[in-house]
Amino acid sequence: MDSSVSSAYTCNSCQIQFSNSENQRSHMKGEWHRYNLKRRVAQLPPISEDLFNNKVNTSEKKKKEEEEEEKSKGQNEVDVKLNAKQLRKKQREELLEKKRKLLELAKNRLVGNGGRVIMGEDGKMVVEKKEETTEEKNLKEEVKEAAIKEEEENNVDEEQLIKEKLANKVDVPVTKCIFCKDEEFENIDGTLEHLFKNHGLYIPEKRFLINKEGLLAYLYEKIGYGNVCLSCNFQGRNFQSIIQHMLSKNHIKIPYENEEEKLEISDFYDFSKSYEIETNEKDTLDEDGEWEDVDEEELENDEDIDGEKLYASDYGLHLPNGMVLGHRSLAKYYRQNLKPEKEWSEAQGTVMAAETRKFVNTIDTKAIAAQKRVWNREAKSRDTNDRRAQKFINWQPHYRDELLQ
Amino acid sequence: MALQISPKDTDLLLKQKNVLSADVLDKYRYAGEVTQTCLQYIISLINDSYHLGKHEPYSAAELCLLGDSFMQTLINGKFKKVIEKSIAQPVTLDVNDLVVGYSPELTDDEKTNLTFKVGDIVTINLGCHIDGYTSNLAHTIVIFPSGLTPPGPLLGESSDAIVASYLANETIVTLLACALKTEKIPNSLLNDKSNRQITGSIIRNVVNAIAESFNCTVVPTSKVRRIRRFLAGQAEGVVAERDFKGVVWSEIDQEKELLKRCNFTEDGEIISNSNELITIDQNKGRSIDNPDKAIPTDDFVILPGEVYMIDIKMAPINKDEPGLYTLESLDGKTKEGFNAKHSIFIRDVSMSEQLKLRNSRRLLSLVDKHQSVYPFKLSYVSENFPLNSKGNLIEQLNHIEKDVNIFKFGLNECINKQLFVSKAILSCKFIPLKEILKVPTSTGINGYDAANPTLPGMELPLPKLGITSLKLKTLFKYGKRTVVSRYVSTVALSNEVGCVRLSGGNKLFTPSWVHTNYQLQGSIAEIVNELSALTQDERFGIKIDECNVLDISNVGEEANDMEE
Amino acid sequence: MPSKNSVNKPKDNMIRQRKSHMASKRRQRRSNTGVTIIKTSKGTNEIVPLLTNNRNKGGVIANTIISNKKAKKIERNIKYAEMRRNGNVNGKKLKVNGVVDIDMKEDGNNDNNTSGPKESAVRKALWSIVDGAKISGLTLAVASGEGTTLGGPSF
Repeated sequence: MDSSVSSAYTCNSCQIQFSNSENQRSHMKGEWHRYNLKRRVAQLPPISEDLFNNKVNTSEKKKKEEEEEEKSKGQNEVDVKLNAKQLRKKQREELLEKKRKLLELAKNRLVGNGGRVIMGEDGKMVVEKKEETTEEKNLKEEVKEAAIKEEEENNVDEEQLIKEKLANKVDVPVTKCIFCKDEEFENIDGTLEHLFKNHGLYIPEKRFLINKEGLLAYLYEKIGYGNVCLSCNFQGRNFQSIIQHMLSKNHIKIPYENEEEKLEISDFYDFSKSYEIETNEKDTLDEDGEWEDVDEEELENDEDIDGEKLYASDYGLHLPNGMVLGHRSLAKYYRQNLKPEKEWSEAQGTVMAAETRKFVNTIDTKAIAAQKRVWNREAKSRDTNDRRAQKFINWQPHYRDELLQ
Repeated sequence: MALQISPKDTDLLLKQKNVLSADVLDKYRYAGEVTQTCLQYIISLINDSYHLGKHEPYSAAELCLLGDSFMQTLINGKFKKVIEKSIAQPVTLDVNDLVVGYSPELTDDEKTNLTFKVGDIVTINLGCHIDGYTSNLAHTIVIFPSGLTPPGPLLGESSDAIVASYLANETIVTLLACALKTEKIPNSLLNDKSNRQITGSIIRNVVNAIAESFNCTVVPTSKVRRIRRFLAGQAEGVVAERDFKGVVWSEIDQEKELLKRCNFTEDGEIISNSNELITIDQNKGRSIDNPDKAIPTDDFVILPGEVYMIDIKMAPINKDEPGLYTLESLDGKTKEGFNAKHSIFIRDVSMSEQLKLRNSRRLLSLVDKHQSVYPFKLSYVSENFPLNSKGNLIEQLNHIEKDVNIFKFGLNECINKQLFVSKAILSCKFIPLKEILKVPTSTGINGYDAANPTLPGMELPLPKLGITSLKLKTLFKYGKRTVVSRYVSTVALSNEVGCVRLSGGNKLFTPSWVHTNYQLQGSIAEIVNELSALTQDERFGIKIDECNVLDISNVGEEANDMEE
Repeated sequence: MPSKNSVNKPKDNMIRQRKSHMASKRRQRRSNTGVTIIKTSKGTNEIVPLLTNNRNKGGVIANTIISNKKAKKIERNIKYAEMRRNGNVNGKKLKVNGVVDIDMKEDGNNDNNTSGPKESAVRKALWSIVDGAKISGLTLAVASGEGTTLGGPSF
């Protein structure tokens, strides 16, 4: 007890005493204390300050040595490791950086000069400038040079690639299946059927397809020569790899969703047949040939619309077979099961017309209210009576003290 | 209930379609011919089986079904293009004290296989409509002991009633015909000689006078009323019809008559100087304002171009004590050997409700299709109705029985949801006056019994005494059954063609042989003689064109096969 | 068990119970009599209609068909109320051996006092017909002459 009284400032983790609180505080902030704390957590005995300092010194030395070694080794290794690709990457990054700088500069200047920024048709930013600073000029030149250099390098690469590809090109005739080469078909239809049945290749809009051979040849070329997957943009290293990819990922399909994809194979199609209906349709519509809201006049002329034609009304698309397609958002209205409006026969109508019976409401609300009032009053008087009776219950004439009994 | 029907349609349906053109009259005439033929057919069936002994007596149920089937076949025979045509009043055979509505189904048990006894008076009531143009008919016949001719005329109280109702019916037909030639109206009938027209009160006075001279009373629900297309009084008590035109007899009139006898003035003031008068205002029971003219009054004039139905029911007056003649509804109870189950129903078209049972939905749709606003029996909607005379009759009857049993499952729901209203079977009861007077003062005059179909304004049977029909119901135990004779005929008053009697008539149906000790007396005797003289003389009198029976050589045979 | 005079005696409880019991009895009696009888300022008892009629409004319609049993019951109740109101009928005691005899037969002479002192004039007048008929018979049409015959000896 005494020790605790005499030296209240201790550090339990380091097992030392302090004369005043300031010392203790400074100790708590120190590395030594932190280290001992960690040891304590690990259930290890604390170490003295000297021992700690020694440890620190030795570990620092080791580190320094290691670093030096690394430095001397590293430079050699970098040179070796940085191959052509990484180098190109680095250069491109630098170029991009420069370009960005240039753009920023230009922008700043624009803000100052009040010039205009126009978005070009190809998506590039066209900047109208009035004057150029030397700094910019330098930068520009650098950028140009770098770009030219890169292009040159790219060209060399592409040429090489094309050569390689050509060498590796696999030419499959359209009467054969590109995936299982063993089979040979009599004509292109057989191939397409085989592709559809065995590989699930679905040719979209078959009705309007006019050049089957061309389409198939194009697809085969894409796979055999370009080594490109049809549905994703995976580029195979060689023919085997791309076939492997397509079979394993089930990618034997022609994407036909967005405009670009549709345009890609549109050369083999002829959609003029489908326009014919629409051109006929135009007669019933305004001369503009655009869909418009149906006016009241047009509604009256509903009979003009042939049952065989496809047309849209306010609430749905009328198909030639008489079905009406509606929008999903209105499903709850289509789905409701309404009672058909009742039609009176002449007999019923006559009787209804002659009917004068009035349906009397059998409940007289006023009478009920009056009755309720009476009941309430009765209940109330009953209550007061009882309460009065309760009040005079105690007729005890004298007060008696309980404790005296 | 003013709903759904636009004013334009109302005008078309209630006015324009009721103009008595040649086309419309043709339809009326055919409906009349059908009813005439059917009545003749039923009378011949009864004669053959009960009187001439050619056949085992038919039960009431069999007669009803055969009559209905025969009528339906005739209806289907002509006017093929008309969609709405059907039986307007199922064949009912009301025996003795029964007034309306007794038409048992075949399926009911043995008890309902009521056969008639000698001395019974049977009222045959039937009706049909072609495109809503309706002809109704009722005729009372007497069941005599079997033999080639009746051994003698029927005597006694029943004969009083038959003679009185027959004479009243014929007289009113002539009187209505007078509306076309107003110069022929007997002068003694007219209060105001310059204003020659037949009014409701004239008709009432004539009928009352005839009843009085034969010691009879006019039974409540008797009426002489105008009928219109689809509105032939088939739904009285269900539908409160606007522009009701007709004389209606009810308990109120009997009460008035009794009060008159003890010097009690009409308007409720008393001659004696008792000032502690607590009479109940008669108008309290009725609503005073009558904007739709749904409440019958006698204040109307019979006009050419209208069609009238004369429905006269008479009961002999009890000689021993004064009392009230009223109608008890036999609520499907079995009483003294016959079952008064409801068998006739009518569709309340103002009600619509979603039904739960498949059977009831089917029944409702069939009824709406075939019988829309007219009363019907379950057998009408069976596939085997009407009976085919060429097929096996017994088999067809079994089929109908089976169908009716199926429909009965659905019937309850329809009735509970008030889509169908069952037509009451009414029996005439005499209640002694002293029993009525013994009943303590009423507790209120607002309640009335919905079971008895009443015309608007007549819900309270005894307004002066303040006795409701509910209270009257408790008095039926003191009551005594009274025979009722009933004659119904339909008359069309056409400006161009003259008076066409659609149903009933002297030429076709002579009344049964009856004799009464009473005879017409006083001024009414003169009036009746004068009127009958008018009808005899075709040149200077009134010509009444009676509808004839149809040629039934191709339809009438089916009954002969019943013997097997 | 404390004695009756002890401090904790249940006396006040007993009193309270007795008081409330009596109050409830009184209330019961009041409510029993109060249904049919309403004291008016004149001090006379009068029957009031259960339903007051308002002419402009439609009346109350009894939609249900009353059964015979029910009708009997209603009638009986009315009779019961009637008799109790009068105290006794024709000098007979209301209670015979503690049982109210409802269907007591009135004596042959029909005094028109069944409906109580406030007999309406209409009733009084009509009673005169009943009485008159008993004495002299009804005035009816007389059969005279040969009478009337309809139809003939054929079906």
